[in-house]
Amino acid sequence: MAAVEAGIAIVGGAGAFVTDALTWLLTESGSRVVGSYRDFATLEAALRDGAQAPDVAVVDAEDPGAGPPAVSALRRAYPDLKILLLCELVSPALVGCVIDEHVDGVVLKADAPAEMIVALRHVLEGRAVMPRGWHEASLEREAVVRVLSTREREVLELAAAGLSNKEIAERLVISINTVKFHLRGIYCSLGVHNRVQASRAMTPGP
Amino acid sequence: MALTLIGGQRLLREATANLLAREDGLRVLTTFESVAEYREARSELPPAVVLLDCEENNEARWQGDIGELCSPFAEGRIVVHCSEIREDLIRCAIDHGVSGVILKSYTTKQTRDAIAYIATGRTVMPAGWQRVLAGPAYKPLGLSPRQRQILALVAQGRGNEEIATELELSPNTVKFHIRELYSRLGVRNRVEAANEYAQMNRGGG
Repeated sequence: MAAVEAGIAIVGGAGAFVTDALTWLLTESGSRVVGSYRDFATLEAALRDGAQAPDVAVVDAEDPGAGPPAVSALRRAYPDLKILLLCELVSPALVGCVIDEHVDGVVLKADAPAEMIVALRHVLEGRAVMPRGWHEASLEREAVVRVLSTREREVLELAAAGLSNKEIAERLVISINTVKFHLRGIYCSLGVHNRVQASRAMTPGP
Repeated sequence: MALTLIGGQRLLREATANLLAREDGLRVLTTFESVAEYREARSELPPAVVLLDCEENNEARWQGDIGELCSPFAEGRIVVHCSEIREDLIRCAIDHGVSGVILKSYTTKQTRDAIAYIATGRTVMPAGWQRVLAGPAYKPLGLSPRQRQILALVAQGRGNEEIATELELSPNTVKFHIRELYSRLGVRNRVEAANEYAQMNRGGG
């Protein structure tokens, strides 16, 4: 496995064990892990305290501490940082996150460890890499996006991630009533009656 | 990994073929002048990856080529080979679901690596490809959320009264929105509006 000549930060990773396993894997390949962080806030704090800034961040897309919100925060704070997402499944919501936040690569957790190193190399050389199932998930998202406004789509992506109306309102800096208003619009456009049905349009599976 | 090259100037096409054929794990099956010639030949041994040379300034040519190659019955993974990130070309490639876009500025090794990655069923794009999706042509018409909402209902064949009840609006407000909707879509009646809506959802507009 060829080493990756860049500083790598690991963000999230559903528990210390997974984070340690990832760190070990990357270090074993000769790559340089500059730090592993529970979430975006921890990474921010470490950088303020003088930790080495990473060239690329490997983010766990399904970890509650990381995931799409951490990706948005990372992108806003570090526009040039390369971001590689690890995920179990490519959902339409994940496609949305990759497009909106200019994510550089997505690797499936089911892939062999060597695949992650290959993906990292592509990303560091200026190419974006997407996993198998990407095209299908993009088409599903496309179908949803075409009937929703940008704001409605943002609200739906957050609702599909399991956020409550209050949390969505805080994230988007709008009132709860506005969130409710958008949700009604979403239900109407998608022809569904509740947030679970609406979320299904943004999540994989039948 | 079997590779087929289509399009571009003969000299460059054959030079690229020779260069890639020397790379580890790559085998160039054939090179074709055009998509038509490739279809005609219909080889028994389909390639894993088809590298389509798209000359940026020949828009009609690459549009036709990408469209024709990316049919549901396409054999092999289609990859666009071009010199720069030209917005309409990348957008056309994405809309047709190509498996990758490879820039001619890549080194031979980088090109080889990208092709190898694509051959495994994954997708490779130039970094920052997402930017082209933010262009004006990609925004679904200039409709407000309410108008989109009403259009969706009109397309389901619902009447003004039903739409009004559903959205808790007065029938006059619905009529007002629909008139505005017609003018923005450039249509004259509900059927044309519904067709426009179906067109949007098929990815035509």
